[in-house]
Amino acid sequence: MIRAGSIALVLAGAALLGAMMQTAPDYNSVVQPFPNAVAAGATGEARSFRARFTGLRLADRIAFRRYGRDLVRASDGVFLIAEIEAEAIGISQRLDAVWQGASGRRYALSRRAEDIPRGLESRWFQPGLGNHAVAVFELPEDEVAGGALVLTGSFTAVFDSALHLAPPALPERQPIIRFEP
Amino acid sequence: MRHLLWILLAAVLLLANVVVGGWTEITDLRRAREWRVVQAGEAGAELRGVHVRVDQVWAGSAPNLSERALVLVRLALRGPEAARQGWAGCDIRLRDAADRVWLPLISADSEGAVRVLSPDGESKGRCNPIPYDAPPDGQEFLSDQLFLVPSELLKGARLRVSAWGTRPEALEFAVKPVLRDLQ
Amino acid sequence: MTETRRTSLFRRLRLRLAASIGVAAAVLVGLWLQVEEARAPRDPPEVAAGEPVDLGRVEITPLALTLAPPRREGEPERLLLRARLLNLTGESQVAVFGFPPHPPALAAGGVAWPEPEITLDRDGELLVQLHPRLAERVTLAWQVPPDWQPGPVSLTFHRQTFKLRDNLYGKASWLLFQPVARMSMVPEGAP
Repeated sequence: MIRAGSIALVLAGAALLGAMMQTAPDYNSVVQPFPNAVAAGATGEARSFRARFTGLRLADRIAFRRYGRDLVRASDGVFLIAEIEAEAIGISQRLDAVWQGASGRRYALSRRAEDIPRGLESRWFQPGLGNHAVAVFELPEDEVAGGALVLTGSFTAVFDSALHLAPPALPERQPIIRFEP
Repeated sequence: MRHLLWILLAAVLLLANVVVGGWTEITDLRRAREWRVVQAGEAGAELRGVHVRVDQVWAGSAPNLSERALVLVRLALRGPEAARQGWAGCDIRLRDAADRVWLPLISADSEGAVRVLSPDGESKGRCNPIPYDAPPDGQEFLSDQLFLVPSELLKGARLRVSAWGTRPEALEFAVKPVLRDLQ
Repeated sequence: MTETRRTSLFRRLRLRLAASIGVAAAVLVGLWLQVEEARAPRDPPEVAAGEPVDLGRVEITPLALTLAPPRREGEPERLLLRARLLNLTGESQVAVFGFPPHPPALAAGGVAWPEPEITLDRDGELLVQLHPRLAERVTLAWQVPPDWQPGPVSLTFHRQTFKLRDNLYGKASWLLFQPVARMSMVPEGAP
């Protein structure tokens, strides 16, 4: 009788531990920013900044000037140019952007478009002042529809908020877009 | 009895672990926070052997963008070399009554904006307490920092100055900008 | 009294003996497995130009190896590997050949050459980033050592191991590099 009781106790303990092991979130999902979905055109508020997705353009090629040289960049995919307006809440800061494609793949800011005029990677956002910036991504065209612009206050943003901004209506693809200073 | 001894030992070691770990965390936190802020007047004040004074503050805004203003703060430092070493990485921030914080601009264009905003057309460079061309001890040297702020901040902003070696102590100054027309 | 004591002693001894034999056997088997692994060096399989090789983060398809004249007067000649790169991960990669970078290793006559310079053919600039699902043509350029006589060279490709849950924190990690493919060929254009 006592033996049956103790066996049941051990089994119950094992089952409990197994259930805990199965349901415990793994490290990868624990150290993620907290996502905050924002509808198209709406202003989203994160812990340290506010932002709005103001415009979206698609282009086969982009042209800009860097260090006195005119550059034209072409792609097998498409260039997605996201225009945002953002404002810091507490302290001057920079923002980082990632395009989360329709397949869930994450496209970082294109380094081939570094130093374009008003580029997001060199932009500082001040408290109390709205500021415009453009983020350029290079990606396959089928990743655009159904994707979202993910804005974070820093590069890793672990335990910080991330705005998932839905894009405005998709525009026609243009052959070339020029960035004027 | 013997068990009790082991339990006590474990408790003591645990406590020691917490104290040692917590000590480093607290020292790191003190280096990052401004907890003891001393209000300084127009004559400036001394902190850790270095005398800091707000030399001049100018502000200007473009006519078509009147809601934003550029603020140029010219800071004067004075102190012996050894004390200035502790001021490395000097941190200069503007803040308002609601504790919002503005950092100095560091873009490539800010140098040009400093020259436009300062009446002498010069830029003294960003704050560096140990410059290669330091004047003799006891003589002041200047630095320029540029801020982009909402115009309403010109009515009353505070400038907070601290460094790696001075925190948690910091100096705070009232900022009274001289308005300049930017055409 | 003495009888029972002797049997219990014998029994304890037997138990310890069994445990010791078990431990020794485990150590020996482990050692033997290691020796066996080291004894048969597994050469990575040979690949030909045009065959894709999985390097972990990216898939490389070597296309052609050519000897090219120097870019500027006074510089050494260059050995160029044209290749196609495809990012296999779910995010844009900056460390295309892993971190620390392990680009294809070139060796001639057993002497390893310094690391190549990798350019994106599309821009003619250094390759800094590779996006998922966008394959790119790149050129890997090695500077030819002064004492090299044109002849066959070998390329070794390394794959970085990915673990979704590593043993330390249970987080996704890129770990060790292992040679996964080798290519031996005489560069085109060599006299």
